[in-house]
Amino acid sequence: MNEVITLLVRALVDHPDQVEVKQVETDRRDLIRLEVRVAASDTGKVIGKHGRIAAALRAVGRAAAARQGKRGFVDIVS
Amino acid sequence: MTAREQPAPVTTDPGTVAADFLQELLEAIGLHVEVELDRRPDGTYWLTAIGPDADFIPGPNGSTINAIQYLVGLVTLRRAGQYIRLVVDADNYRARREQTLTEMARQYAAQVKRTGQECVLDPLNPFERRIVHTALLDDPDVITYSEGDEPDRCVVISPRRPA
Repeated sequence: MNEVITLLVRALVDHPDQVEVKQVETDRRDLIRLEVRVAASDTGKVIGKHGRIAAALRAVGRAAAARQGKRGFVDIVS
Repeated sequence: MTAREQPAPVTTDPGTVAADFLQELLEAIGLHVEVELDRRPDGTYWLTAIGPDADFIPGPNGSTINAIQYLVGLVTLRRAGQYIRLVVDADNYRARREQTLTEMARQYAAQVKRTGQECVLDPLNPFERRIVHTALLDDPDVITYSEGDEPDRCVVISPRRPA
């Protein structure tokens, strides 16, 4: 799931070198929670109008986690 | 004939850019599929995932395949510098969905005729809204239009009143 979100976010921003995707510890073993950080100027490129890009990233993140039998959650930190 | 080494041409065809990225993305998700690219007569690029894992791609209510389609479109715009109409398909999902939406449109149209009340459908993406509009285009008793803003834009089926 980390690889999937990193691939997508890097492809969407102007500064792929500043993309940071970090898995956050959770108290549930079946839950993968990722925190995504991008350059301040790229924030809009991963959120989109009305959060549409962020929603699509979350949907794909959920699918990638489901493939591993887990639940996935993507947090975009700005 | 001299075998002269040609540098690999830089691919700028937006369909190929889209197909390559989709292939990379689906592999990263862990799916064993091959993406086939087809350009339809209306200019739409169809990217069809074929293989044992293709049925995983649609997801609940098409949420996964539609999110993938949207993101691949954004990435293609960035990489190829132009917007293209593209459809991501897998396991015949789009054809099955078209049939479902067409049947649903006719059922709601029948209800609108019976009650004389207009009917607002659940939000659909532009491609799916077009299927609903097309399904009822030839129905003399109803008209259809869309209202609301993306991504919550909905088709409305309304009785066609005599002028």
